[in-house]
Amino acid sequence: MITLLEVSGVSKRFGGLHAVSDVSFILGEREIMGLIGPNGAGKTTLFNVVNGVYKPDKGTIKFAGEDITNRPPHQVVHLGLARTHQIVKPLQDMTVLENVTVGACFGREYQPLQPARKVALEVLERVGLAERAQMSARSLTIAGKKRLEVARALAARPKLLLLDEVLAGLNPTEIAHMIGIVRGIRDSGISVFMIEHVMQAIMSLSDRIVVLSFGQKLAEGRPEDVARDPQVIEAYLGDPDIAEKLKEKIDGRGTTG
Amino acid sequence: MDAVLQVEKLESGYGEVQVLWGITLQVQAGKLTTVIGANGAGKTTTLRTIMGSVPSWSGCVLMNGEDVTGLSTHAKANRGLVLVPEGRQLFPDMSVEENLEMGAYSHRARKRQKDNLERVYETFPRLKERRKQRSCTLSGGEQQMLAMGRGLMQEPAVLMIDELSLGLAPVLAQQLFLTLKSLRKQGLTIVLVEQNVHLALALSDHTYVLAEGRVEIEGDSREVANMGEVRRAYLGL
Repeated sequence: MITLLEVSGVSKRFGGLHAVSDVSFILGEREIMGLIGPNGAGKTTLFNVVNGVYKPDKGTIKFAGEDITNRPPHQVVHLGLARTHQIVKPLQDMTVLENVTVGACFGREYQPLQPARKVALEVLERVGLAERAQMSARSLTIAGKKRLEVARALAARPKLLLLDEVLAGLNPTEIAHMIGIVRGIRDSGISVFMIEHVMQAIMSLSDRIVVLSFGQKLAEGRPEDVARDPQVIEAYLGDPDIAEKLKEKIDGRGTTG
Repeated sequence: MDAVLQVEKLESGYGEVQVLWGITLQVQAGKLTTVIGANGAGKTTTLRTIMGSVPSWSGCVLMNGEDVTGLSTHAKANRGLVLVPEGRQLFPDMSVEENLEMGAYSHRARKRQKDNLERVYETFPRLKERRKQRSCTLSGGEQQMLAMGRGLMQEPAVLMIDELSLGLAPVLAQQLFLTLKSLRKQGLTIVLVEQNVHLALALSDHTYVLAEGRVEIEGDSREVANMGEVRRAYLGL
Protein backbone atom coordinates (compact mmCIF):
# COMPACT_ATOMS: atom_id res chain seq x y z
CA MET A 1 0.00 0.00 0.00
CA ILE A 2 1.35 3.41 -0.97
CA THR A 3 0.64 5.96 1.75
CA LEU A 4 -1.37 8.97 0.66
CA LEU A 5 -2.49 10.45 3.99
CA GLU A 6 -0.67 10.09 7.27
CA VAL A 7 -2.30 11.42 10.41
CA SER A 8 0.00 11.24 13.45
CA GLY A 9 -0.95 11.95 17.05
CA VAL A 10 -3.55 14.56 16.15
CA SER A 11 -5.47 16.29 18.97
CA LYS A 12 -8.02 19.09 18.84
CA ARG A 13 -9.60 20.71 21.85
CA PHE A 14 -12.44 23.18 22.17
CA GLY A 15 -12.04 24.69 25.65
CA GLY A 16 -12.27 21.73 27.99
CA LEU A 17 -13.69 19.39 25.38
CA HIS A 18 -11.21 16.97 23.81
CA ALA A 19 -12.94 16.62 20.46
CA VAL A 20 -10.08 14.59 18.95
CA SER A 21 -7.38 13.00 21.13
CA ASP A 22 -4.13 11.59 19.85
CA VAL A 23 -5.52 10.01 16.68
CA SER A 24 -3.15 8.33 14.22
CA PHE A 25 -3.79 6.34 11.06
CA ILE A 26 -2.58 5.89 7.50
CA LEU A 27 -4.71 5.92 4.38
CA GLY A 28 -3.39 4.38 1.19
CA GLU A 29 -3.76 5.17 -2.47
CA ARG A 30 -6.97 3.79 -4.02
CA GLU A 31 -8.30 2.92 -0.61
CA ILE A 32 -11.80 3.49 0.74
CA MET A 33 -11.59 4.14 4.46
CA GLY A 34 -14.72 4.49 6.57
CA LEU A 35 -14.89 6.70 9.66
CA ILE A 36 -17.61 5.71 12.10
CA GLY A 37 -18.50 6.40 15.73
CA PRO A 38 -21.42 7.41 17.94
CA ASN A 39 -22.73 10.98 17.82
CA GLY A 40 -20.22 13.45 19.17
CA ALA A 41 -17.30 11.08 18.62
CA GLY A 42 -15.31 13.75 16.78
CA LYS A 43 -15.66 12.51 13.21
CA THR A 44 -16.42 15.81 11.52
CA THR A 45 -13.84 17.56 13.70
CA LEU A 46 -11.24 15.09 12.45
CA PHE A 47 -12.27 15.90 8.86
CA ASN A 48 -11.94 19.58 9.62
CA VAL A 49 -8.46 19.07 11.01
CA VAL A 50 -7.38 16.93 8.05
CA ASN A 51 -8.44 19.45 5.41
CA GLY A 52 -7.22 22.47 7.34
CA VAL A 53 -10.45 24.08 8.56
CA TYR A 54 -9.01 23.70 12.10
CA LYS A 55 -5.40 23.67 13.12
CA PRO A 56 -4.69 20.72 15.40
CA ASP A 57 -3.37 21.47 18.91
CA LYS A 58 -0.96 18.58 18.53
CA GLY A 59 0.16 16.17 15.86
CA THR A 60 0.90 16.31 12.16
CA ILE A 61 -0.87 15.59 8.91
CA LYS A 62 1.07 14.55 5.85
CA PHE A 63 -0.56 14.33 2.46
CA ALA A 64 1.17 12.99 -0.66
CA GLY A 65 4.51 13.35 1.08
CA GLU A 66 3.98 16.97 2.17
CA ASP A 67 3.35 18.30 5.65
CA ILE A 68 -0.04 20.06 5.44
CA THR A 69 -0.59 20.42 9.21
CA ASN A 70 -1.10 24.18 9.27
CA ARG A 71 -2.26 24.80 5.73
CA PRO A 72 -5.70 26.27 5.10
CA PRO A 73 -8.28 24.37 2.99
CA HIS A 74 -7.79 26.43 -0.17
CA GLN A 75 -4.11 25.44 -0.25
CA VAL A 76 -4.79 21.82 0.70
CA VAL A 77 -7.17 21.49 -2.24
CA HIS A 78 -4.36 22.50 -4.63
CA LEU A 79 -2.46 19.45 -3.41
CA GLY A 80 -5.42 17.24 -4.27
CA LEU A 81 -7.47 16.95 -1.09
CA ALA A 82 -11.16 17.87 -1.52
CA ARG A 83 -14.21 17.30 0.63
CA THR A 84 -17.99 17.44 0.86
CA HIS A 85 -20.04 18.77 3.76
CA GLN A 86 -22.73 17.09 5.77
CA ILE A 87 -25.13 19.99 5.29
CA VAL A 88 -25.09 20.65 1.58
CA LYS A 89 -25.00 24.30 0.59
CA PRO A 90 -25.06 24.65 -3.17
CA LEU A 91 -25.08 28.09 -4.74
CA GLN A 92 -28.86 27.95 -5.02
CA ASP A 93 -29.49 30.38 -7.86
CA MET A 94 -26.73 29.08 -10.10
CA THR A 95 -27.22 26.09 -12.36
CA VAL A 96 -25.95 22.64 -11.52
CA LEU A 97 -23.24 23.04 -14.14
CA GLU A 98 -22.17 26.44 -12.80
CA ASN A 99 -21.90 25.03 -9.28
CA VAL A 100 -19.58 22.28 -10.43
CA THR A 101 -17.64 24.66 -12.64
CA VAL A 102 -16.83 26.73 -9.54
CA GLY A 103 -15.35 23.58 -8.00
CA ALA A 104 -13.24 23.01 -11.09
CA CYS A 105 -12.02 26.63 -11.22
CA PHE A 106 -10.62 26.51 -7.70
CA GLY A 107 -9.48 22.91 -7.49
CA ARG A 108 -6.09 21.24 -7.86
CA GLU A 109 -5.11 24.06 -10.21
CA TYR A 110 -6.81 27.36 -11.02
CA GLN A 111 -8.61 26.88 -14.31
CA PRO A 112 -10.17 29.40 -16.65
CA LEU A 113 -13.89 29.02 -17.30
CA GLN A 114 -13.76 27.07 -20.55
CA PRO A 115 -11.61 24.14 -19.42
CA ALA A 116 -13.33 24.24 -16.01
CA ARG A 117 -16.68 23.80 -17.68
CA LYS A 118 -15.33 20.84 -19.59
CA VAL A 119 -14.19 19.19 -16.35
CA ALA A 120 -17.56 19.98 -14.78
CA LEU A 121 -19.46 18.28 -17.61
CA GLU A 122 -17.35 15.15 -17.28
CA VAL A 123 -17.93 15.05 -13.54
CA LEU A 124 -21.69 15.55 -13.92
CA GLU A 125 -21.71 12.56 -16.22
CA ARG A 126 -19.98 10.47 -13.56
CA VAL A 127 -22.49 11.32 -10.83
CA GLY A 128 -25.50 11.01 -13.10
CA LEU A 129 -26.47 14.68 -13.12
CA ALA A 130 -25.59 15.47 -16.76
CA GLU A 131 -29.24 15.74 -17.75
CA ARG A 132 -29.85 18.29 -15.03
CA ALA A 133 -26.84 20.46 -15.83
CA GLN A 134 -28.95 23.48 -16.75
CA MET A 135 -31.38 23.28 -13.85
CA SER A 136 -30.95 25.60 -10.90
CA ALA A 137 -29.31 23.92 -7.92
CA ARG A 138 -32.32 24.93 -5.82
CA SER A 139 -34.63 22.72 -7.84
CA LEU A 140 -32.73 19.49 -7.13
CA THR A 141 -34.10 16.92 -4.67
CA ILE A 142 -32.03 16.14 -1.59
CA ALA A 143 -30.51 13.15 -3.39
CA GLY A 144 -29.63 15.40 -6.32
CA LYS A 145 -28.07 17.97 -3.99
CA LYS A 146 -25.96 15.28 -2.35
CA ARG A 147 -24.69 14.21 -5.78
CA LEU A 148 -24.03 17.83 -6.66
CA GLU A 149 -21.97 18.16 -3.48
CA VAL A 150 -19.88 15.15 -4.52
CA ALA A 151 -19.56 16.54 -8.07
CA ARG A 152 -18.32 19.89 -6.82
CA ALA A 153 -15.58 18.23 -4.81
CA LEU A 154 -14.71 15.82 -7.65
CA ALA A 155 -14.34 18.74 -10.04
CA ALA A 156 -11.35 19.83 -7.96
CA ARG A 157 -9.65 16.71 -9.41
CA PRO A 158 -8.58 15.37 -6.00
CA LYS A 159 -6.32 12.46 -5.15
CA LEU A 160 -8.25 12.08 -1.90
CA LEU A 161 -11.92 12.84 -1.40
CA LEU A 162 -13.43 13.29 2.07
CA LEU A 163 -17.15 12.47 2.10
CA ASP A 164 -19.19 13.60 5.12
CA GLU A 165 -22.44 11.61 5.31
CA VAL A 166 -23.31 11.59 1.63
CA LEU A 167 -25.87 8.82 2.22
CA ALA A 168 -27.84 10.55 4.99
CA GLY A 169 -31.47 11.16 4.11
CA LEU A 170 -31.41 9.05 0.94
CA ASN A 171 -33.85 6.23 0.20
CA PRO A 172 -32.55 2.72 -0.55
CA THR A 173 -32.51 3.23 -4.33
CA GLU A 174 -30.64 6.51 -3.98
CA ILE A 175 -28.22 4.91 -1.50
CA ALA A 176 -27.47 2.11 -3.97
CA HIS A 177 -26.85 4.72 -6.68
CA MET A 178 -24.49 6.72 -4.46
CA ILE A 179 -22.59 3.56 -3.47
CA GLY A 180 -22.02 2.95 -7.16
CA ILE A 181 -20.74 6.51 -7.58
CA VAL A 182 -18.29 6.11 -4.68
CA ARG A 183 -16.99 2.80 -6.05
CA GLY A 184 -16.55 4.45 -9.44
CA ILE A 185 -14.56 7.27 -7.84
CA ARG A 186 -12.19 4.79 -6.26
CA ASP A 187 -11.90 2.79 -9.49
CA SER A 188 -10.78 5.97 -11.23
CA GLY A 189 -7.81 6.06 -8.84
CA ILE A 190 -9.05 8.44 -6.15
CA SER A 191 -8.85 7.50 -2.46
CA VAL A 192 -11.96 8.01 -0.35
CA PHE A 193 -12.24 8.78 3.36
CA MET A 194 -15.89 8.77 4.39
CA ILE A 195 -18.01 9.43 7.48
CA GLU A 196 -21.23 7.47 7.43
CA HIS A 197 -24.03 6.35 9.73
CA VAL A 198 -25.69 4.05 7.21
CA MET A 199 -23.86 1.04 8.57
CA GLN A 200 -24.60 -1.64 6.01
CA ALA A 201 -23.40 0.68 3.28
CA ILE A 202 -20.18 1.78 4.98
CA MET A 203 -19.35 -1.77 6.01
CA SER A 204 -19.72 -3.08 2.48
CA LEU A 205 -17.97 -0.11 0.82
CA SER A 206 -14.91 0.30 3.01
CA ASP A 207 -11.62 -1.56 2.70
CA ARG A 208 -10.84 -0.51 6.25
CA ILE A 209 -12.67 1.33 9.02
CA VAL A 210 -11.53 3.69 11.75
CA VAL A 211 -13.81 3.92 14.79
CA LEU A 212 -13.82 7.04 16.96
CA SER A 213 -15.46 7.32 20.36
CA PHE A 214 -15.16 10.36 22.60
CA GLY A 215 -12.43 11.68 20.32
CA GLN A 216 -10.20 8.63 20.58
CA LYS A 217 -9.47 5.96 18.06
CA LEU A 218 -11.21 2.88 19.40
CA ALA A 219 -10.41 0.50 16.59
CA GLU A 220 -9.07 0.27 13.06
CA GLY A 221 -9.27 -2.61 10.65
CA ARG A 222 -11.35 -4.56 8.19
CA PRO A 223 -15.12 -4.07 8.53
CA GLU A 224 -15.76 -7.66 9.63
CA ASP A 225 -13.17 -7.37 12.42
CA VAL A 226 -14.27 -3.94 13.57
CA ALA A 227 -17.93 -5.02 13.82
CA ARG A 228 -16.91 -7.84 16.19
CA ASP A 229 -14.58 -5.76 18.34
CA PRO A 230 -15.99 -5.79 21.91
CA GLN A 231 -14.98 -2.18 22.51
CA VAL A 232 -16.75 -1.05 19.37
CA ILE A 233 -19.86 -3.01 20.28
CA GLU A 234 -19.87 -1.41 23.73
CA ALA A 235 -19.48 2.07 22.24
CA TYR A 236 -22.61 1.50 20.18
CA LEU A 237 -24.75 -0.66 22.45
CA GLY A 238 -23.77 0.79 25.82
CA ASP A 239 -22.12 -0.55 28.96
CA PRO A 240 -23.48 -3.99 29.89
CA ASP A 241 -22.40 -3.60 33.55
CA ILE A 242 -25.06 -1.02 34.37
CA ALA A 243 -27.75 -3.41 33.21
CA GLU A 244 -26.25 -6.30 35.19
CA LYS A 245 -26.15 -4.23 38.37
CA LEU A 246 -29.69 -3.10 37.82
CA LYS A 247 -30.87 -6.67 37.35
CA GLU A 248 -29.17 -7.66 40.61
CA LYS A 249 -30.91 -4.81 42.39
CA ILE A 250 -34.29 -5.72 40.98
CA ASP A 251 -33.81 -9.40 41.84
CA GLY A 252 -32.55 -8.46 45.30
CA ARG A 253 -35.68 -6.47 45.97
CA GLY A 254 -37.86 -9.25 44.66
CA THR A 255 -39.66 -6.95 42.28
CA THR A 256 -39.08 -8.83 39.06
CA GLY A 257 -41.80 -9.34 36.53
CA MET B 1 -54.18 -8.11 23.95
CA ASP B 2 -55.04 -4.45 24.23
CA ALA B 3 -52.96 -2.09 22.18
CA VAL B 4 -53.31 1.35 23.77
CA LEU B 5 -51.19 2.86 21.07
CA GLN B 6 -50.79 1.63 17.53
CA VAL B 7 -48.56 3.14 14.92
CA GLU B 8 -48.98 2.03 11.35
CA LYS B 9 -46.56 2.62 8.50
CA LEU B 10 -45.58 6.01 9.83
CA GLU B 11 -43.41 8.15 7.57
CA SER B 12 -41.97 11.57 8.33
CA GLY B 13 -38.86 13.71 8.23
CA TYR B 14 -37.49 17.22 8.29
CA GLY B 15 -37.72 19.47 5.23
CA GLU B 16 -36.81 17.30 2.26
CA VAL B 17 -35.05 14.68 4.33
CA GLN B 18 -37.12 11.60 5.06
CA VAL B 19 -36.22 9.95 8.36
CA LEU B 20 -39.01 7.43 9.00
CA TRP B 21 -39.73 4.96 6.22
CA GLY B 22 -42.80 3.17 7.53
CA ILE B 23 -42.64 2.51 11.27
CA THR B 24 -45.21 0.09 12.69
CA LEU B 25 -45.47 -0.35 16.47
CA GLN B 26 -47.94 -1.80 18.94
CA VAL B 27 -47.87 -0.63 22.54
CA GLN B 28 -49.73 -2.96 24.91
CA ALA B 29 -51.52 -1.66 27.99
CA GLY B 30 -49.52 -1.85 31.18
CA LYS B 31 -46.32 -2.88 29.41
CA LEU B 32 -42.95 -1.24 29.08
CA THR B 33 -42.00 -1.01 25.41
CA THR B 34 -38.55 0.17 24.42
CA VAL B 35 -37.39 1.61 21.13
CA ILE B 36 -33.67 1.28 20.54
CA GLY B 37 -31.37 1.79 17.58
CA ALA B 38 -28.16 3.53 16.51
CA ASN B 39 -27.75 7.25 15.92
CA GLY B 40 -30.01 8.56 13.23
CA ALA B 41 -32.18 5.44 13.28
CA GLY B 42 -35.26 7.60 13.89
CA LYS B 43 -36.07 6.95 17.56
CA THR B 44 -36.68 10.54 18.59
CA THR B 45 -38.41 11.29 15.31
CA THR B 46 -40.74 8.36 15.94
CA LEU B 47 -41.83 9.79 19.29
CA ARG B 48 -42.15 13.30 17.88
CA THR B 49 -44.22 12.09 14.96
CA ILE B 50 -46.50 10.04 17.22
CA MET B 51 -46.96 13.17 19.34
CA GLY B 52 -47.42 15.35 16.25
CA SER B 53 -44.69 17.88 16.96
CA VAL B 54 -43.17 16.56 13.74
CA PRO B 55 -45.97 16.20 11.19
CA SER B 56 -46.47 12.76 9.67
CA TRP B 57 -46.15 12.41 5.89
CA SER B 58 -48.20 9.24 5.80
CA GLY B 59 -49.33 6.39 8.00
CA CYS B 60 -51.41 6.64 11.13
CA VAL B 61 -51.44 6.74 14.92
CA LEU B 62 -54.27 5.05 16.79
CA MET B 63 -55.13 5.39 20.45
CA ASN B 64 -57.40 2.62 21.74
CA GLY B 65 -58.29 1.90 18.14
CA GLU B 66 -59.24 5.46 17.30
CA ASP B 67 -57.35 7.36 14.62
CA VAL B 68 -55.71 10.40 16.23
CA THR B 69 -53.13 11.08 13.51
CA GLY B 70 -54.61 14.41 12.52
CA LEU B 71 -55.19 15.72 16.03
CA SER B 72 -53.09 18.60 17.32
CA THR B 73 -50.36 17.88 19.82
CA HIS B 74 -52.32 19.38 22.70
CA ALA B 75 -55.42 17.41 21.76
CA LYS B 76 -53.36 14.22 21.91
CA ALA B 77 -51.94 15.30 25.25
CA ASN B 78 -55.48 15.81 26.44
CA ARG B 79 -56.17 12.17 25.63
CA GLY B 80 -53.26 11.09 27.75
CA LEU B 81 -50.49 10.79 25.19
CA VAL B 82 -47.55 12.29 27.04
CA LEU B 83 -43.96 12.86 25.94
CA VAL B 84 -41.03 13.45 28.27
CA PRO B 85 -38.76 15.04 25.68
CA GLU B 86 -35.07 14.53 25.08
CA GLY B 87 -33.09 17.17 26.96
CA ARG B 88 -35.98 17.51 29.45
CA GLN B 89 -37.18 20.93 28.21
CA LEU B 90 -38.05 22.26 31.66
CA PHE B 91 -39.04 25.84 32.38
CA PRO B 92 -35.69 26.92 33.84
CA ASP B 93 -36.87 29.95 35.82
CA MET B 94 -39.92 28.28 37.29
CA SER B 95 -39.77 26.42 40.56
CA VAL B 96 -39.97 22.64 40.72
CA GLU B 97 -43.59 22.84 41.81
CA GLU B 98 -44.51 25.32 39.09
CA ASN B 99 -43.00 23.03 36.49
CA LEU B 100 -45.13 20.21 37.84
CA GLU B 101 -48.23 22.39 37.75
CA MET B 102 -47.54 23.09 34.08
CA GLY B 103 -47.81 19.36 33.52
CA ALA B 104 -51.35 19.47 34.86
CA TYR B 105 -52.38 22.33 32.59
CA SER B 106 -54.41 20.17 30.25
CA HIS B 107 -58.14 19.86 30.82
CA ARG B 108 -57.63 16.16 31.41
CA ALA B 109 -55.46 16.56 34.47
CA ARG B 110 -56.45 19.88 36.01
CA LYS B 111 -59.13 18.53 38.31
CA ARG B 112 -56.93 16.04 40.08
CA GLN B 113 -53.86 18.24 40.18
CA LYS B 114 -53.51 18.11 43.97
CA ASP B 115 -53.70 14.32 44.23
CA ASN B 116 -51.33 13.89 41.36
CA LEU B 117 -48.86 16.30 42.88
CA GLU B 118 -48.86 14.22 46.06
CA ARG B 119 -48.32 11.09 44.04
CA VAL B 120 -45.38 12.61 42.14
CA TYR B 121 -43.82 13.72 45.43
CA GLU B 122 -44.23 10.18 46.77
CA THR B 123 -42.54 8.79 43.69
CA PHE B 124 -39.75 11.38 43.78
CA PRO B 125 -39.25 12.56 47.39
CA ARG B 126 -36.26 14.58 46.21
CA LEU B 127 -38.59 16.82 44.21
CA LYS B 128 -40.62 17.55 47.30
CA GLU B 129 -37.47 18.60 49.16
CA ARG B 130 -36.68 21.00 46.33
CA ARG B 131 -40.17 22.16 45.46
CA LYS B 132 -39.41 25.87 45.86
CA GLN B 133 -36.13 25.73 44.01
CA ARG B 134 -35.81 27.02 40.44
CA SER B 135 -35.50 24.06 38.08
CA CYS B 136 -32.31 25.34 36.50
CA THR B 137 -30.52 24.86 39.83
CA LEU B 138 -31.28 21.12 39.92
CA SER B 139 -28.72 18.43 39.12
CA GLY B 140 -29.08 16.47 35.89
CA GLY B 141 -30.68 13.52 37.64
CA GLU B 142 -33.14 15.75 39.50
CA GLN B 143 -34.04 17.51 36.28
CA GLN B 144 -34.83 14.16 34.70
CA MET B 145 -37.02 13.31 37.71
CA LEU B 146 -38.80 16.62 37.27
CA ALA B 147 -39.36 16.02 33.58
CA MET B 148 -40.85 12.62 34.39
CA GLY B 149 -42.87 14.11 37.23
CA ARG B 150 -44.27 16.78 34.92
CA GLY B 151 -45.27 14.02 32.52
CA LEU B 152 -46.97 12.08 35.30
CA MET B 153 -48.94 15.19 36.32
CA GLN B 154 -50.75 14.84 33.01
CA GLU B 155 -52.22 11.46 33.99
CA PRO B 156 -50.69 9.67 31.04
CA ALA B 157 -52.46 6.85 29.29
CA VAL B 158 -49.12 6.31 27.58
CA LEU B 159 -45.96 7.88 28.95
CA MET B 160 -43.29 8.22 26.26
CA ILE B 161 -39.78 8.97 27.51
CA ASP B 162 -36.98 10.04 25.20
CA GLU B 163 -33.53 9.12 26.53
CA LEU B 164 -33.91 8.53 30.23
CA SER B 165 -30.28 7.80 31.08
CA LEU B 166 -28.48 10.13 28.67
CA GLY B 167 -25.73 12.04 30.43
CA LEU B 168 -26.58 10.66 33.88
CA ALA B 169 -24.18 8.89 36.24
CA PRO B 170 -24.83 5.12 36.35
CA VAL B 171 -26.15 5.24 39.91
CA LEU B 172 -28.71 7.91 39.04
CA ALA B 173 -29.70 6.11 35.87
CA GLN B 174 -30.28 2.95 37.90
CA GLN B 175 -32.44 4.82 40.35
CA LEU B 176 -34.61 6.22 37.57
CA PHE B 177 -34.95 2.82 35.98
CA LEU B 178 -36.09 1.33 39.28
CA THR B 179 -38.70 4.06 39.50
CA LEU B 180 -39.78 3.27 35.97
CA LYS B 181 -40.06 -0.37 36.86
CA SER B 182 -42.30 0.43 39.82
CA LEU B 183 -44.48 2.77 37.73
CA ARG B 184 -44.90 -0.08 35.28
CA LYS B 185 -45.91 -2.36 38.17
CA GLN B 186 -48.57 0.16 39.11
CA GLY B 187 -50.02 -0.35 35.65
CA LEU B 188 -48.62 2.57 33.70
CA THR B 189 -48.06 2.04 29.97
CA ILE B 190 -44.59 3.24 29.05
CA VAL B 191 -42.68 3.74 25.80
CA LEU B 192 -38.99 4.30 26.36
CA VAL B 193 -36.29 5.39 23.96
CA GLU B 194 -33.00 4.35 25.48
CA GLN B 195 -29.45 4.42 24.20
CA ASN B 196 -28.07 1.72 26.48
CA VAL B 197 -29.27 -1.42 24.75
CA HIS B 198 -28.53 -3.69 27.70
CA LEU B 199 -30.58 -1.54 30.07
CA ALA B 200 -33.44 -1.35 27.60
CA LEU B 201 -33.56 -5.10 27.06
CA ALA B 202 -33.17 -5.93 30.75
CA LEU B 203 -35.97 -3.66 31.79
CA SER B 204 -38.65 -3.83 29.15
CA ASP B 205 -41.35 -6.26 28.10
CA HIS B 206 -41.21 -5.61 24.39
CA THR B 207 -38.49 -4.16 22.19
CA TYR B 208 -38.33 -2.54 18.78
CA VAL B 209 -34.92 -2.10 17.19
CA LEU B 210 -34.85 0.63 14.56
CA ALA B 211 -32.26 1.03 11.83
CA GLU B 212 -32.31 3.71 9.18
CA GLY B 213 -35.90 4.67 9.82
CA ARG B 214 -37.36 1.17 9.76
CA VAL B 215 -38.18 -1.50 12.32
CA GLU B 216 -35.33 -3.97 11.93
CA ILE B 217 -36.13 -6.32 14.82
CA GLU B 218 -39.18 -6.64 17.04
CA GLY B 219 -40.10 -8.98 19.83
CA ASP B 220 -40.28 -9.96 23.46
CA SER B 221 -37.31 -8.26 25.09
CA ARG B 222 -35.86 -11.50 26.46
CA GLU B 223 -35.91 -13.07 23.02
CA VAL B 224 -34.44 -10.01 21.36
CA ALA B 225 -31.66 -10.00 23.98
CA ASN B 226 -30.71 -13.53 22.96
CA MET B 227 -30.84 -13.02 19.23
CA GLY B 228 -27.44 -11.51 18.58
CA GLU B 229 -29.03 -9.68 15.68
CA VAL B 230 -29.06 -6.43 17.59
CA ARG B 231 -25.39 -5.85 16.98
CA ARG B 232 -26.00 -6.22 13.28
CA ALA B 233 -28.78 -3.65 13.36
CA TYR B 234 -26.33 -1.23 14.93
CA LEU B 235 -23.12 -2.09 13.10
CA GLY B 236 -24.36 -3.40 9.78
CA LEU B 237 -22.34 -6.63 9.97
